[in-house]
Amino acid sequence: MSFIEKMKEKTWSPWAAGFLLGVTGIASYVLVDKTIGSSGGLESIDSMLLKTFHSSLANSMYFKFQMPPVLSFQIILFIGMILGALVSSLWSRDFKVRLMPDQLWIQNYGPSKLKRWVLIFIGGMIIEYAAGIAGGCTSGLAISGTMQLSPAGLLFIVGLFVSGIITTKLLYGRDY
Amino acid sequence: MTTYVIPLIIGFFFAFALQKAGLGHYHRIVNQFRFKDNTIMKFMMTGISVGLVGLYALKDLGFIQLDQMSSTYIVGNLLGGLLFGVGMALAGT
Repeated sequence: MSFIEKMKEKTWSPWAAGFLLGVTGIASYVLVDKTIGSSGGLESIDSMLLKTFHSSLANSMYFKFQMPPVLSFQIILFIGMILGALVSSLWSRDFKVRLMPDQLWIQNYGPSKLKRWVLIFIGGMIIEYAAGIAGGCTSGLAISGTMQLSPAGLLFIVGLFVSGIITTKLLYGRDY
Repeated sequence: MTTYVIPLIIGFFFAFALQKAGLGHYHRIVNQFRFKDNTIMKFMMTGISVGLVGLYALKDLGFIQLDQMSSTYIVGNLLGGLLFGVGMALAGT
């Protein structure tokens, strides 16, 4: 199969995509001696915003030393991530502005857009807060952490799946 | 170069892999928790395995030092993970 045809496929086999993920992780370690992560970048952006608006929080220890307001590795990673996902989805014609996810959501929660947006907002807040507690997110801790055989990553995956399964079970009830 | 271009390229391929595995879809995440679609598990585990072998091989050959190890503090990691799962199942991201 030619390269162009392969790029036009909407989804690859998870094994192939996973291989690319692993290689990216190694490349990041070799080239810049950093691990891929995404939640930290958001906190750096927060830190910048706090500094711009002269919030007193900007002087706290956390935002001064832990997450200083600089254009960090992860923020540039974000720009690359947006470009990568855009190219991939445009090339395979998978790109679509979705206000609602397909089928599954409507089956379970009904067609209300407001409900979706409120729930995704709350979910997003919980995700970022939890990433702050754990010290990383799915990419930063579960993938990059476990790649280095750090116990932190394994513990995080265990926690994530236990509560994820329970929450889905509660939300979906009989349809689980 | 190292500060601006390389992170851009790494981010590009990272998101490319994620998009090609279909991780942008709500049903993929939720169906993993319902064990109806194991794509995410396959994707994550392949990524981790490839990275693990590569990183430790390069470390043993002396090309890199594993000095960016995520710090482990059992209660924090576990509690964070437990809370993270709730958010992930709610938002499906």
